[in-house]
Parts: sequence; structure tokens; C-alpha cells
Amino acid sequence: MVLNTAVLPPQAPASIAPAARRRGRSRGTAPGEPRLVAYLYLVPALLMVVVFVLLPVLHTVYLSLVKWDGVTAATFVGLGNYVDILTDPQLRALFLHSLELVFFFAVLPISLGLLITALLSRRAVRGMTFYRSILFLPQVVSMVVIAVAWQWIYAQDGVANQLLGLIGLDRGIAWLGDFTWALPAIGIVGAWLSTGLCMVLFLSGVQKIDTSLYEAARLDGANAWQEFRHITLPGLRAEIAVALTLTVVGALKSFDVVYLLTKGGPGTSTAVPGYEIFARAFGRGEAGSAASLAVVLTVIIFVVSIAISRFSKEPEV
Amino acid sequence: MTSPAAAAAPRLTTGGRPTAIPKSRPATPRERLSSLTTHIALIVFSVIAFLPFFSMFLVSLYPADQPAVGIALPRELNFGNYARAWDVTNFATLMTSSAIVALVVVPLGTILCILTGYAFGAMRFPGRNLLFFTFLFGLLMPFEATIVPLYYDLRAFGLVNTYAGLILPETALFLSFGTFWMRAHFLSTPRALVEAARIDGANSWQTLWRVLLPSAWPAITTMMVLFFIWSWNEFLLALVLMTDKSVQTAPAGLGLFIGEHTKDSSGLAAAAVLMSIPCLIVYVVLQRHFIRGVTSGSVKG
Amino acid sequence: MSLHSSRRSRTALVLAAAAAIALGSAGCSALTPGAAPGGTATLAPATKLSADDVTALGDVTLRMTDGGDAAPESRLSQSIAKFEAEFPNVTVERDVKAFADYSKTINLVMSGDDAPDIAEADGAMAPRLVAGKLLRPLNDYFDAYGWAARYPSSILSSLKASPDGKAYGTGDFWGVSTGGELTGVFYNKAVLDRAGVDLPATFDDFQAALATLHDKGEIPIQLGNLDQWSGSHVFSTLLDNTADPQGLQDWINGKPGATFTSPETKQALTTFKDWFSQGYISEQANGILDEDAVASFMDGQGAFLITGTWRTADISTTLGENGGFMLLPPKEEGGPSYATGSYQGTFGISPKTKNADLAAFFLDYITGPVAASINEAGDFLGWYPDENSAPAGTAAEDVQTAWASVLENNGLVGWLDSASPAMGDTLFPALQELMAGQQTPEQVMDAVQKTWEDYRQA
Repeated sequence: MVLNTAVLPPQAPASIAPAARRRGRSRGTAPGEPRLVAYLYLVPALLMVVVFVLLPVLHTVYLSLVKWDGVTAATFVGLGNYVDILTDPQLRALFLHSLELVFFFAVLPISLGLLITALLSRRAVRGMTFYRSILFLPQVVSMVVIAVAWQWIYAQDGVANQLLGLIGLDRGIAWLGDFTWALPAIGIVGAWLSTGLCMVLFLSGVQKIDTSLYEAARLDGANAWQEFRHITLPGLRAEIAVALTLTVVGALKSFDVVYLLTKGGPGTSTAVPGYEIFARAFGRGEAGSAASLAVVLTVIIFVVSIAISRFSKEPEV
Repeated sequence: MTSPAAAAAPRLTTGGRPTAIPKSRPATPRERLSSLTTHIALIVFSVIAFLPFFSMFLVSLYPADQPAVGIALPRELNFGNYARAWDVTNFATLMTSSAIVALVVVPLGTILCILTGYAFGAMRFPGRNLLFFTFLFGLLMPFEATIVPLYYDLRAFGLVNTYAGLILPETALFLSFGTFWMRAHFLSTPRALVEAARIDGANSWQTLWRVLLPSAWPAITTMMVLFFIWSWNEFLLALVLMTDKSVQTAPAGLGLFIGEHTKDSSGLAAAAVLMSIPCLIVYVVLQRHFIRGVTSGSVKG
Repeated sequence: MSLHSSRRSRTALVLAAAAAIALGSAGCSALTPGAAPGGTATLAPATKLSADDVTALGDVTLRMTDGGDAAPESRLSQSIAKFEAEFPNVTVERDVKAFADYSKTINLVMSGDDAPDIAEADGAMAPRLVAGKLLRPLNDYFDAYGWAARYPSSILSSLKASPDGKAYGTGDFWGVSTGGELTGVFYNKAVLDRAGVDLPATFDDFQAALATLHDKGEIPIQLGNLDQWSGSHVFSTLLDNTADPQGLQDWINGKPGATFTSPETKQALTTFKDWFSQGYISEQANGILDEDAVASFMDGQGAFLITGTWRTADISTTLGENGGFMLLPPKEEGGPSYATGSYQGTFGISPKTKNADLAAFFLDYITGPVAASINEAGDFLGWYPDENSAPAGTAAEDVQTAWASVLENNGLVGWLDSASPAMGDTLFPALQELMAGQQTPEQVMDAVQKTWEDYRQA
């Protein structure tokens, strides 16, 4: 997910655009000069986006209105697929799983990132370039490779149990096959992917906060928590919004990590909407209902990104 | 990748480089303690980030009869795993396909994104916001579903199982991000620079290439590295759109290995390491520029 | 701003509407390409070629795709190599994918204009390929080559499918098969000896053996069910020996009125669950890869392994004389045993091919006695029992014996997940939930039957 989505480039948030627009407005003009030549610069790229992104999306919307197995003739069913989605209690469970993943993919990494940032005394850290390179490494390698590595880690005789054994907690659980632990186990892979990203983001963000703010706070006798609460946190608002959008959207869209690690199992305990879409479209020949689920998921992702952008607008985090 | 976002929601407090940290003042004990804690924490997280790769690398050197169990050193080094993985997956062909795709996607995407980023970041024209949102769309939609219609649409164009059939949609998807990223960069370019060029009689094209581009290289390098990594690692598109063996890319090939040889864990690990090497090389060689670009490259507020 | 944005969103709406209309007028059928219901493709008449005819064809390329074993030593690779050596003017271009990827993309591949001439299919893929008219009816070639005589009746019925793909046993032949496979019980004699357990001859003995093995600290049944399908083989093997085999086959074939729900099914589900909760099946089964479980079994962990004969070669070579195979013991000693199993290596011909006659000739060759004779590992279950052979005293030999007895008793019952496209997605997770006590046998039974009915009503 996040940067590493084997399928897609990272979900850079649409929510950020309004921020830029606000800024433009506050200066009274949009950036740049009025120039119609701009269209010429956009044409080639726009053509590609229309043909290879927008048309397939419109096509998906059309498919969501039919019943189609992918090979025989389709039947038009109107909003029937959507009604099915709304009345299917099992689908609700999938969205709840996504919600749990949001905690692991977003809340945990951002909290950890902030914790590290808070520990940092705003001095240059020797070897920071090295740390950053390592922390960022999970984003560089293919999800296929990562999945293989984590499958071994979670095996009954894998590294996870080996480490737990060091503190006497190895119960011989095969993590990906346990109804209670499989979803958190997938979540931890997501947290592992995005923690480095969040840290790199926050650590560089904090370097840009005006030092004099801290000096002033110290003169006023502020303690470490107050410094963090009143200077660091507000100063990182933009980075937090970015991290939040990336990771939350990543959690909602998650597909490959589930596809490669558990295929939704055991039972359906790790099934998420992204995986269900794929399973319906490719496994069961339900292209229409898969498309309607995709439309619903896209709408949810849009709403969430907009909500996050609204949130990041508030003066207090 | 994050910097686009950071740039688009620019910080107004400071500009550019990290604020210089006063070095003359000796560190207080509290600061020393804090620095120590920071190092310990960073080391712990670095180890965690690195551990899965390390364990995989170890497994790739195991002799055939050593099972992949926990973290353990190879009983003896067996480089034969790499030769086997190379042969079984026909890696030479896979790598060639991957390289062809990446070597077109990266420059093509880069050039298009420079153009769109320039238009969105430095010009004003009717429909600007609507068009920008059009570009952003690709970043938010879940791709698992649109791939079915995409397949049929591409087939209508006769593009399935051709390099173009993977290159074009991949580039189009990356355009969403790249446009976003380069726009952020050009937004942060001082207006005076553009105006000066104009007074000198440069047209928009000349302004872009002669005046703006030289200072845009850090942002462009970062974007190119990301494009390369994403293109190289692309799995689902490659799996569905490239069903013919002769044009299959490396991740799909690794998928075949997983499907057929799971019990050959050392061979699988070796294949995984092999397919990661190009990205690691690009990353390691360019990581200084890259990380700087990611974290602050275009955050110039 | 608000004025602006509302104008913009109106523009967006208008654009979207225009695009939708444009798409609509472009023809909805182009958006959902598929066979028109009742449409018939005109096929060139079938001719049975002789070897000389083939040689006279000049340079030809046959393109095939499958989800089998790409290794050069695999049977299919060897048969193709033999064919190419015998007919050097024919080049076979083979595209192999990992099975899971293959099954997900085969519909797309076969519906393309450049579909390969020959494609592998199984009971789960065939229905949609047939309904989409992506496989050529093979009745004429079945007649010309006399293929029907090769197969036992249960196999022959599953090679036929109704035009809508929803029922087997009626309609046209869609594929021709190389051999068969079945599930049964591999055992490790060393582990049984260690626990002082004799090879059970009845089902009750088998259950008693499980209890003893468990008490002695052995893993009675080794299972890796992280992949989700492997557990279903343990269950279906149980089910075939509990419920009425013909009733099950009818249900799998989609015969109207057939049902999964029965006291016998419930009993089989209960036994499966009990085995797991009593510790007769590996405790962490749901988190272990199938491959890893097989490796553990061959490493001496586990007395029994209930899986398919595709594991024969590995187990037979690794365990040697300690390895053995039997069908699940019958209720009464000497009674008939049933096994889940079906055809494998089954290929159909694309209706779009220009080389149908050559494709049929090639399929006759690679599914015929030549393939059966490539049998060094002894794991191949061919339709020509005389060609089958295996090293004496190994699991492979036991497998051949079991195969012969099943063919004789007509004791093969098909894969449960062939019953409908969504059946695997319903049954496999449900079995895992049953194991974990999250579903009752009744709930599993009802969910499975509902999936079957939903598919047939649609």
C-alpha cells in the first residue's frame, strides 16, 4: 500500500488541491499568468488520462448497472447491484475489517512517527540520511517480495514466534491462520510499510519549524510536552494531513497485501472490499456486482479524503 | 512522494533548507539524553524495517535441505539457488520485458508530467481546477475493479499482450501523481524568474526548458526514481494485461515461481532478491537526491 | 468562489453526462462483450488427420496455454517435446501460468481475437468458457478419434456441459483429458510403527488410530490449510464415504432438484470439525501453507496426509518404503471406498482457431497412450491402465492400485467446488469457520446450498 502499492501509484490526496487553491486565493490571484497555450501542454497527458483512466472508470460505472459474468451477454439491472450491496450484511463486515486496518495502516504509524519526532531534540541527528534510507526501504521493494518475507515471519516456526519466544510468549500460533490474529497480522505489515514513510515525513517536517519558536518557548519555561503540543504538532499539520490521507486511503483500498498473504482467510476474517472486488470480478464471474462495489468504495474514499482535508484546515490538530 | 502533498499544502513559516541549527552552544545533558534516546529509537525502527529483507537474503543462500525457519544463518552458502531461480523463471526474458516497460514509462511519464505540472503550476486558464481534478482521479480510485473494463477497452484497441498495452495505462496512472508533484514544484518557483524570462522575450516553451528546468532537477529525479520503482514492481496490471509469456514482467514471473515452487523456499528467496536488485540499485545510487526530494525537494513554501 | 465552484461542478456534470451518452450510443454490447444468447458459431467440419497429413501441412504453429507444470521434466512438457520431435514442422508455443493466476485470467485470454488454439480448463473454468462459446464443441472429434471409449462414465459426464454452462452431463463435449487424479490417505509407516498403530481397514479403525496417534503425541493428520482449498479435500474425502456418491455427483453436475443438505452431509461436517477440535488435525492447520504441511509430513511429522495424487511423486521418492497410500477406509472391511477426484490435464479447442483439425490431432497425441507412457515417477493416473506403472513397495504403487479399484467401482466423485463458480469462495472459508467453531455444520450446509441455488436461479 501507500508508496508500495504494486498496482497503483500512491494515493496522493485530492484533498490537498483545495489547500493549494486556498493559498492562491489568499494572494488574490491564481498562480501564473493567463495563458491559453496551457492547453497545448496538457493535451498529450490529458488524452492518456482520458483514454486509460477516465474511460475505464465510466465503463466501470456502466458495468455496475448490469449483471454480467464477463463472457456471456449482459443483462441491464439498473441499481439492482447497489441494492444488493446495501442489503448484504456480510459486506458490512468487510468494511469493518477496513476500519480495523485503518488503525494499523494509519493511526499506529502516525503515532509512532510523532513519538519519534517528539523525542528528537531538534538537533541535527548524525547519520540521519542513513536512517532515512533504511526506514524508507519497505517502499522500494515489490509487494510480492514483501509478502513472501512476511509469510515466513508469521509461520508457526517463523521469526515472529522466535522473537516472542525470547520473552517466553511463543504459543506456536500460525498467525495468518488464526481468526483473532490474522487481520492484526496483516495490519502490522501495513504499519511496517508506512511507519518509515511517516517518520521520514515528520522528521524532515520538524526540521523546518522555525527554531526561534522553541527558543521562545524554553525561555517561557515550557516543558517537553508543551513544546510538542503547541509548536511541533501544529507545525507538522500539513505533513500529518498528507500522511493521514495516504495511509487511510491505502487502508481502504488495500488489496494486494490481502491477496498475497491470506486471500481473505481464515474464513472471511481478513476479507476487505478491495479483495472482494477482485474475487467477484475474476474468481466468480460477477463483473457487474464487482463494479458496483468498486463505485461504492471509490465514493467512500473520496468522502474520507475530503473529510481529512477539512480536518487539516482546522487551526488546531 | 509525500512532498507533493506537503508542497501543495505549503508551509508558510520558513523557506527551503532546514533551519540552521546553532552549533556553538554546547549540548545540555537533557539534549544529550534525548539524542541518545532518538538514536536508540531510530536504530530499533531501522532494524524492524530491515529485518524481513535480511531474513529473505539469508534464506536465499540456504542449502536445499535447510528449511526456512526463523532467522538462522545458512548452514553453508549455496549460491546455486540464484542460478536455479534465474533458469526456472526464465529471468533474462522477464528482466528484459520489465526493463523495456520501465525505460519507456519513466521518460514518457516524466516529460508529460513536466508539461502538465508547468501548465498547472505556472499558468492560469479557464477550466484549470476541473482539469486538475481530472488528473487526480487516478490516485483515488481502487484499481482492482477498473482493470476488468480496462482489459476490454485495451483489447478493442488491439493493445493486449503488447508492450504498449502495459506502458500506456501504467504511464496514465502515474500521470496523476506526477502532475500533482510537478505542479507543486512549479507553484513554488519564484514568479520573478518567469517574469524576467518573459521580459527577455522568451516564450513559454523557452521559459520552461531554459529557465525553470535547471532548478527542477531534484524534483524530477525523485519523480523518476518513484516511476521506476512503481513500474518495475507493478503486479496486477502486468498479470492481467500481459498474459503472453514473451512480454511478461518480473513480478508476474515471481508469481509463477510462487505458484509452482513454494516448497523451494531458497529458490523463491533468490528469485525475490534477483527481482529487487534493479530497484535497489536505482534507490541506493540516487537515494541522497531521492530522499531529499521526497522529504523536502519541492517543499519550498 | 461558491459561484465558481457550482458552475464548475455543473460543467463536470454536463461533461460526464455527455460522455455517458457517447458511451451508450457506442453500443452497450461493446462495453460488455459476450456471446449473444442462443448464438451459434459456424464451425468448419472436422477431419481426422493422419500423421502424413500433419507432415504435409508445412510449417505450422500451435499456440496453447495452461496452468500446469512448466518444468521440462513434467509429463506435458515431455509429451509436447515428443510430438515436436515426431512432427518437426509443427511448433507448439506453450504459455504456462501459475494455476491461481491462470484460472483468473483464462476467460479474458480466450475471449480475445488472438486467443490461443488450445487451452486447459477444469470443472470450475469450463462452465463460463462453454457459456461464452469460447470452447469449440468437440463432439465431432470425439466421434472421429473414439475418445469416449477412454473414460469411465463419471468422467465422461463431466466432460460434457450444457450450453449455458450450468450443468454437466448434458450438452456438448468441451474438453479431452490426459489422465485423472484423486484424493486419499498418504501414510508414513515409520510414524504408525512408532505409535504402535496398525494400518486401519475400516473407518472405525481409522478413527481409533487417530485417537491412539494423538495420545502418543503424534500429529494424526497433517494439514496445511492457509491456502483454504486443502482442507476441503479432507472434508470431501470424508463426505464421499458418508453421503450417497451418486447424489453428490448429481449435485456437482447441477442436476435440478439435487441438494447438498442431508443428515449424511451434516455428519461428515461434524466429523471433520471433531477431528480438528480433538487435535487429530494439525492444530495450526489454517495458518500453514499446503506445501509446508506436505514437507512436514515427508519429514516424519504426521501419520496421515489426506491430499491428492499430485503429491505422489514427492512423497513416494522422499519416504520410499515408509510411504504408503490408501483410499479412506470403508465403513465395512472390504467394502467399496470412494474418492474425490476427476480428470486432469484437460484441454479444449478455441472456436476461433484456424487449425482445429491439427489441434485435435495434437490433443489426441498428448492425451493418448504416449503421455501415459511417460511415467517414470509412477504418479500418473492414466486412462490406459496397462501403461501405468510404479516402483514396487512405494506410495506410488499403492496409488496405482487405488486408482484401478476406483475406476472399477466407478468410485470417483467430482470436486465440490466445481458445483458453481462461487462455490470455492463459499465452501472453503466456511470450512475454516467450522473448524474454528464460528459456524455450525447446519450453517455451512445452508450457505453451500444457497450458493448452488443462487447460481442456478440467476
